[in-house]
Amino acid sequence: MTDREASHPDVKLPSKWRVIISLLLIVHIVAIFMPPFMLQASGSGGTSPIGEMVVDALQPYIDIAFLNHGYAFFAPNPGPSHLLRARIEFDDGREPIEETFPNLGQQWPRLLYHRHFMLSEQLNAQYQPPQLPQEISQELELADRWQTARRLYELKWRSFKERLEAKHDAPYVTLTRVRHRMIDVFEVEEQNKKLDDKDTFIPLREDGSIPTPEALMGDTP
Amino acid sequence: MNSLLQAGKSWASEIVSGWNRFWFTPSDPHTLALLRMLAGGMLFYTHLVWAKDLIAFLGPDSWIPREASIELHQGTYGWSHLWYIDSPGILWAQHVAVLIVMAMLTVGLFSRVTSVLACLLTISYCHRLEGALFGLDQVNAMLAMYLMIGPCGAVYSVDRWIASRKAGDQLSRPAATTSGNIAIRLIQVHMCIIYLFGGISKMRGEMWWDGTAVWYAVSNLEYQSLDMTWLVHYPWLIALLSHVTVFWETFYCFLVWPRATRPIVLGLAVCVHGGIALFLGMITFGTAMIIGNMAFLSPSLVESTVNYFTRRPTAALAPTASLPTIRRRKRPA
Repeated sequence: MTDREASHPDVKLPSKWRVIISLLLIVHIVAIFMPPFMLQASGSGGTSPIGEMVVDALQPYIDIAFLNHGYAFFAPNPGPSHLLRARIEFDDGREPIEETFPNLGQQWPRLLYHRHFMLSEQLNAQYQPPQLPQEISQELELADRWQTARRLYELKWRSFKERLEAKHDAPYVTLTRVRHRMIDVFEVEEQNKKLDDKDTFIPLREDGSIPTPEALMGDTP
Repeated sequence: MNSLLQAGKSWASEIVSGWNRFWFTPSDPHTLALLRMLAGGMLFYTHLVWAKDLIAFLGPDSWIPREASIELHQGTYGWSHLWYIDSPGILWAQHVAVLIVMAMLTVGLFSRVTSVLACLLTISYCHRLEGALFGLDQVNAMLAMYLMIGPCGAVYSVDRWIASRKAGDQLSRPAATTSGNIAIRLIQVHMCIIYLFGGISKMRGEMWWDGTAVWYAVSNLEYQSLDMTWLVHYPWLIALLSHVTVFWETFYCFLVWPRATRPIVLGLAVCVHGGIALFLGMITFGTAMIIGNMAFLSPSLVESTVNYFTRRPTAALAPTASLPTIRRRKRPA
């Protein structure tokens, strides 16, 4: 089979180049495909071994080219939002202040607001309880993962705290993650509940325990 | 046995031929150039918004300081030039340079160089700003990466205008190129992978099956840019939108290729992403996804559409003498 037979009449690239470029294209497409695939290809038995092999081989390229994405937008289900509330206290007589982000009133344009929203959302997504959970304490690999995840969470938490301390020139900043829970159709239609009702904002405790009823009645951010 | 072998050979030959046709048939640069203008504009805007709070995101006391950013990337191969810059003055200087690069890409000035720089800078910013990113950044980086592969400044660009000034009437039509085709094909394939896993991941959630997912998305106060709670009175509409979204995303990669179904699939893309832009407060992300979908517009369609809009003012000003109404007025005299 000659080059001409193997290709469309308009294809003018020499076959040597076609082979080289084809190989590069295949590697690239597999590198795009694998991160979202691995996000889905996991279950109680762990992650797909063949998937792990391929990802291991392509990891440098995936990282460098910024291809490590799951593309799971609003999935598997749309979830609640997570905000960050900060109480800033001073030792020079100034009144303490409270701020919450994201905040549409302070962050403009919308994209800048969304950046702040992602900061609080992704901090929450990385949350790990401070103590190694009992159910994984015997599994070394999971315990290692918990340790790394917890360290990264604490790193971000500390960074946010230091950012606010520097911004306000304040010695004390207390952060609280706040979950803005979802409201179902029944609550809106039958109970006339509003999306910003106070009781839909739930302060989250850092020890991972369930908030108390008093905490559930948290203030509107 | 021989006929089986022949059938196998014929099949393999068709596969190779199809592959070559798909990737290596040269294509005109008009679609890629249109994407350059739109994606370049989005890259410029994205970086302009970083500038509004640059030091809070990249400076010494930023939300995620560079030391923390480096630590977050430990064990990965991601890299950012911003890990080595701490001084606010230098940060600002380099950011202004970045904005100039993005603006040059948008207008198509030195496109070959600026497209490569735009890609490297976009990815570098993404690695530094881990923790504040979302879908927009993924699509921005994707488009920037593929724009640098093809001749994205061959038309609709300052580069083309300069070339036409130099060559005068002798400037020929821009050549169809293999690299331009590969760039567009990669955007198309990448979009298919995004939607495939967008659909698959939704299929694992029960809200997309019980038809309530769209309600929970539009009633999320932090996302919401328009109050859509009136939808509560139309549960059937919420369910319809939820189901259509999942099936459209999952089957996008199959239905976008046949000419018969392509307009439907792309029309739904405009509706879904237009909805995200208007109602869910993500104007930039919704727009970026629509730009990505434009990779499926043929260069001839782009060219004829752009010609229609760019020639109309000229036609309205210049040839008035040939308009029948003017001739009629002159006759009695």
